[in-house]
Formats: sequence, structure tokens, C-alpha cells
Amino acid sequence: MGAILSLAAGVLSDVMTLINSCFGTGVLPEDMRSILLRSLGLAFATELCAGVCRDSGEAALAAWVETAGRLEILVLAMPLIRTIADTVANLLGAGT
Amino acid sequence: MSTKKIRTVTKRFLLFLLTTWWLLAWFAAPIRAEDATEQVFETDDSEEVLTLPPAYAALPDALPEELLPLLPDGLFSTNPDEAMEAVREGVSLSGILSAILGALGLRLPEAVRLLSTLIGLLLISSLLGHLSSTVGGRTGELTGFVVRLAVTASLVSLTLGIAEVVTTFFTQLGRLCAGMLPVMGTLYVLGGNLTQATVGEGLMLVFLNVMEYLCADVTPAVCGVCLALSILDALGLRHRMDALGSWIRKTYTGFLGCITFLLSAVLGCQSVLSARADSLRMKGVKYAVGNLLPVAGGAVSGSLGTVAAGIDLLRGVCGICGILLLGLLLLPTLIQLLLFRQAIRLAAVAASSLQCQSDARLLNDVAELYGYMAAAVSLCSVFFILALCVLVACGSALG
Repeated sequence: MGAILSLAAGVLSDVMTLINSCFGTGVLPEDMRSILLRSLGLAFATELCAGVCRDSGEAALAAWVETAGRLEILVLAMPLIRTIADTVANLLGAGT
Repeated sequence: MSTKKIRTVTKRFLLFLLTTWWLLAWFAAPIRAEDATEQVFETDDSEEVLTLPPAYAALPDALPEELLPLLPDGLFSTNPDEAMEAVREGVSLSGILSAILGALGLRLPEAVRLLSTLIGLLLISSLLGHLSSTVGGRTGELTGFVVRLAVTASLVSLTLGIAEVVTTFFTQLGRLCAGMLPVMGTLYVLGGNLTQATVGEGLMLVFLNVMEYLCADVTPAVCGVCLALSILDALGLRHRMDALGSWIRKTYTGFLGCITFLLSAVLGCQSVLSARADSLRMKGVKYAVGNLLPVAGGAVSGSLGTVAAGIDLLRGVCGICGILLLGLLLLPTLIQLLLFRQAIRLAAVAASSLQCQSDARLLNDVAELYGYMAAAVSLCSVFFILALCVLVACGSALG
């Protein structure tokens, strides 16, 4: 398990470096970059925790972990939903 | 001298005085309406010079500041020769080409920058989409949704600056129309086209209201509604809303087209009728002046033809100058809309290649929105061009 995790961490580190270099071009704003990376990290962590719980025979706990992880990702995404809503609202009210 | 002869001479003298007073009042009326201190017929060294109305010289106040350096020198001079030279320079092949190339040169780097940013964003979207799909399960789906949300927000913010450009164009066009209104009115009245001045001014005021309340206010709102529907579609709404968005866009541009057609038809028909009526009225006046005043009457009647030719020249200068200004206002906006539309279409093709179908749909919808905005901008310019063409083509009633 430890070996798999360290291997995955190495691969993920490379992926994160690549993503950071992509974000460094200024294509995505800083706040969005942070939201995206955190939600990706959360998703991986949640799936990992849920998998460990299932392997240990704790299916109920695994379901709770998944639910908590999804809720956390949704809360993280709230600013994005607000950004889109604000953009459309600004556009609708631009002429008045 | 017999009493009968004295009566005839007195009668003729009184008639001469009355006609002279009437003619003076005729020419003075529009000048008083504009500005009591400024004179359209300036007297310089006892020589009468026909000049452009003061409202024409005030036209730069109605134009955006960035447009002024592009205009030829002396365009807003009240001296018709100087203004005509400048207009001729502006509408020459080199002038038109330099305006087009200048607008293209300014907008092309912006369009290329937009395209490269969009493609960068699509690459990130594709990468993150594949990463989130590796998570699996409902958490993976949710992460994919967050990625789509972020990419959609960025795409929308990148492509929406154009709505502001279109609103600004409508505001500037409205200001230009409002600036040209007194110039056109003065020139119509000077040429004896009183009915036409009233009809033209009324229609231009209706057009200004359409510009202010319909185009400038409704266009961003229509864009907002269409964009909201496209975003819902891109974020994975089960029921496709693109048909509704397309219907709203088509209805709006169709409505604008109908209004422009209606205004243009009314302007065309009313202009022909009022020009005929004004011409008939002025011919009656000329006949009366020419026949009732034995010597001076003929001279006045002949000089009216010269004045009419001068006023036709002024109308030509003002009308073509108006079209030139409109072209310089319209060109950058239209070129920007069309170039950005092409850039977004290219990005949509790239999105399809990168398997980002929802992003491709959103980009196609935004590109379609740009096309409709270009149509709205062009439709609104047509009526103003037609009004200026009527001003140039319609002969003075004095002639």
C-alpha cells in the first residue's frame, strides 16, 4: 500500500508540475487554479480513503467519506458558480 | 407724373420691399434657430461666401476621441472648399484602404491572442478532464463538473468583452446621429425643403430612440439570455436549450431588421413626396418673384439657382462626411466581431479534436452570438446611411 502510494505520489507530482506550468501561462486566473487543484486532490484523497475503508470492511464509513468528500468539492466550486452567475447578471444589467 | 403712374410705382416698391423682407426672413430663420451669432452666409470683404452650418463644425464633440486622429485635416472646417478636399481625401481609395488595414492591424493581434488563450484553456480542460475521469465513481463525475465549471467561467469571461464593444458602438452611433441632426435640418431648410426637414428630423428622432432604448439596452440582455442557455447546455443540462437560444437570437435580429426596413421605407417614400411638394412651392415663389418684380425679380430668381447649387454642394460634403464618420465608427467594431468570431470558431474545432464536446458546443454558441451582434450593428447603420444618402441625393427645392 505504502509502495503504491509513494509511486502514485511521484506520478501525481509530475502531473502537478505540468499543470502548474500550464497555469503559469496566465490562461486561468489564480483563484480558479487553486480551486481546480484542491478539488482534484480532494477527489483522489476521498477515493483513496473510501477504498481503504471498503477494504477494511467498513462500507458504511466508506459511503460517509465519499459523501463528505463530494460535499467539500461542491463547497469549493461555489465561487465558480457565483462567477458565472455574476457574469451573466452583469451582462443582463449592462444596458440598464 | 400722373396719379396712376405714382400708384403703380408705389405698389411695385411695396411689393419689392415685401418680397425682399420675405426672402431675408426665409434665409435668416434656420440661422437664428442654430445660433444667433453664427452666420451661414458670411460677409467677408463685401463678398458673400456660403459656409457650412456651425453645427457641422461642432461634430467632433459627438465623436470618440480615438477616432479624431484618423480623420483628414480640415474635415470640420466651415469653409466648404477645405471640407470638400478633406472629405475627398477621406473617401479616396488610399484613405479607405488605410482605414481598413489600420482597423485590421489593430484587431488581428487581439484575435490571435484570444485564439491562443482559448486553445491553452482547452488543453488544460482536456488534461484535467482526463485526470478527473481517472478518479472514477461519483466523485470523479463531480470533479469533472468542477473542471467544466472553471473552464466555462474562463471562456465566458474571455469572450464577453465584446458585448461592451457593441454597446459602446450603439452609444457612439446615437451621438453621431444626434450631432448630424441639426446639420441635416439646417441644410434642408436652407435649400427650401421645409417639409423634408420636418419629416427627416422626425424619423431620425425615432431612430435615435430605437438606438437608445432598443439596441443599446436590449442587445446585452439578449446576449446574456442566450449565453445563460448555452452555459446550461455546456454544464450538462439534460434538455438541450440551443433551439430556444437560436430562436431568441433570430427573433431579435429579425425584429431589428423589420424596424430598419420600416424606417427606411417611410424615409424613402416621405422624402420623395415632401421633396416634390417643397419643389412645387418654391417654383411658385420663384415664378411670383420673377414676374412681379420687373428687373430685380429676374435677378433674384437667377441667383436662387446659384444658391441652390451651393447648398447642394454643402449637402454633398456633409452627407459624405457623415457616411465617412459612420464607416470609421463601424469598421473597427465589425472587423473585431468578425475576427473574434473566426477565432472562436477555430477554437471550437480544436475543442472537438481534444474531445471537449461541451466546450465545443459553448464556443459554437458564442461564435453564433457574435454573428448576430455583427448583424445587429450592420442593420442599425443602414438606416443612418440611407438618411445621409437621401440628404445628398435629394436636390434643393430652390434650384
